[in-house]
Amino acid sequence: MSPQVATLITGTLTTGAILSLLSVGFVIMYRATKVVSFAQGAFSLLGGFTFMALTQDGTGLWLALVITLVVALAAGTVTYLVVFVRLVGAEPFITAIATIGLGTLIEACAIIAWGSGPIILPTVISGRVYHLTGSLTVSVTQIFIVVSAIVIFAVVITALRRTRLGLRVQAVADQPRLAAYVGINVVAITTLAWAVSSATAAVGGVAFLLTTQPSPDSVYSLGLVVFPAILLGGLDSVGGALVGGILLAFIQNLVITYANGTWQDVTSYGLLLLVLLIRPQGLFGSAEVSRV
Amino acid sequence: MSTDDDRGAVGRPAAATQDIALAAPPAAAAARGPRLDSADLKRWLGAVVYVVVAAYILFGASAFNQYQASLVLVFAVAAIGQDWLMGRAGQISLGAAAFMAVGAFTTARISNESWAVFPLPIIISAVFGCVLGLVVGLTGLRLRGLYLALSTLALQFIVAFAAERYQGSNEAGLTAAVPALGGFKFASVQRLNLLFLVVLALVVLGLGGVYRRAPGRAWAAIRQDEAAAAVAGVDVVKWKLLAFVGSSGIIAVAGSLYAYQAATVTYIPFDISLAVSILVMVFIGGLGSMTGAIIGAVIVELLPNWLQSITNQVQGGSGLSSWLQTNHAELALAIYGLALLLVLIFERGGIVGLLNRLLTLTVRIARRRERA
Repeated sequence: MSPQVATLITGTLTTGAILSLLSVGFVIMYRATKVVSFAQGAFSLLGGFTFMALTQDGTGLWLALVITLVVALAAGTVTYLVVFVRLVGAEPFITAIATIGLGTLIEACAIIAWGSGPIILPTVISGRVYHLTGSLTVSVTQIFIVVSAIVIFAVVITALRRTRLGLRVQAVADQPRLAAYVGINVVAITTLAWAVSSATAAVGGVAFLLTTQPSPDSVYSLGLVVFPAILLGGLDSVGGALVGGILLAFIQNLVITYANGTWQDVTSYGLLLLVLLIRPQGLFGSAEVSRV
Repeated sequence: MSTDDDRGAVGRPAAATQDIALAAPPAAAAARGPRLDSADLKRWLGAVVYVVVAAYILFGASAFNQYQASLVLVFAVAAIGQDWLMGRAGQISLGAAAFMAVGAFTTARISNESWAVFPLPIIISAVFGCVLGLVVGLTGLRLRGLYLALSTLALQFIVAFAAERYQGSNEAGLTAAVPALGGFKFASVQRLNLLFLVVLALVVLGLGGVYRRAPGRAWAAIRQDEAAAAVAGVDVVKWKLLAFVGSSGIIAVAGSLYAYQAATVTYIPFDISLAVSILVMVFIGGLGSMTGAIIGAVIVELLPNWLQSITNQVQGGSGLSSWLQTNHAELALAIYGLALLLVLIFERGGIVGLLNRLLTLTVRIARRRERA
């Protein structure tokens, strides 16, 4: 196996995990609230900065991760209860613009609090690298990222498909008013969706920080970069988020490996346009009235 | 524009379409608000304020304030263009920075050619903007609402990429020639401001006329409910495309003015955050109001500098002062974000909406006094 193919594989898996984590958060929120969120990247940034602050203070990996998750869940909850609960029933146009405002606010506050320089984590994961066949190597960090993504997807999918709570979430997603009539606490379920969506974005942010030392701005941009993946998988499909994330990561890594990094964004967004024009519901999304 | 386009959204013949759209009375405008704040009165007031502010910018302002004003004027034009699409036709777009880039690069590229006599560069920039707007508008016909927003987001990334490629290894960017009308060179900020003020006035007067007539009502109908508008005989396809083309053209003109203002053009300022800040201008000032767009441009352009200037007034060397010094840009961003949320939650009409409310309230109180 040539080294190029090897980096293509590992690159696809790690980037794919990060993109899928952001996508699944988007999908959960979109399904439950029909809010198209441009603020996923802001929650990634919030989570990333929290994780950085904790680990710099010497908190261990697992504890830092748990605290980051709690902070992210709280951030999502507060956001919904303070802001978006007041916009229930507003047109998607309005809520989407509101997420832009929210994202700008969170990003600006995070940069004021933690600075705008590159976010550098202390060594929290062993730098060991395992040599598999040929030139295929895999680092502990990469394993960690991919495994966390798998675990999160497993939990989300099982929770949605196999638990009573998941059933309630589906009910609220499909028919909020009917769900309320049969006694489901719609506000609680929606709050949960916001919290979980924020948490998955935060984990995605942490994973991103583990792979590079990005500027806060590029963590925030993750929330925009991820749209081709979301659309490819389908706005409302959890499984689609996984497939879309990995597909986009594959294409991006293909471009980086065989062409040039500067082509990355334009290829992704060209793909997005293609999907929009050919199949707006994506690979697995339900066909809505998206076309005139 | 041709009126024989018979592919109206409900397949009506064009004649009937036109009739109904033209005959629709501006019911909302007439029904709202007390008589004192009649549209005419507001227009006169606006004209007076415009002349006074223009006089200040041209003759009274310090060099720094003149520079600030030039930026405000450029972005006021851009915000008015953005408002055309979002506030009037109700189409969501994140493409403003891309259209501005098209205008700026076109102007910087052709203003140095000997055949491109001023104001040809501005006009050609507008045409290029219109053409790109038509392309986006055509995808916009297939895509509704947020899917459209995503396609304009794609436009942003594609144009940014193209601009970066076009600029290539030329780090310093492209230089725009100094515009000159006959022997009169717009070589100083003061003279450029004169140009910008004229363009802004032309845009406001032209669009104001359009909004008050049939097209304005057609866009209002589309904004409120596309399907209902189609049923009522509004040619949704035609008017939506026109809003895209026109709005993009205006934003490209703003980009062209920006090229003259900055003299050198690089791809760097035309990023997604510029698109967002133009969107913020429109919403904070008041969606669907040109006055609002201008107010929004003033606030968004001036706030960071105003925050920075506070640092000079609070005691030098104090904690607050140095904190503001380092964070004024981010603080301004945080304020925009917060303001956007507040506008969406409490007053969708933005600052203009607030002013209207205030006016209505004052008039009501005055009336009550009179009666008592």
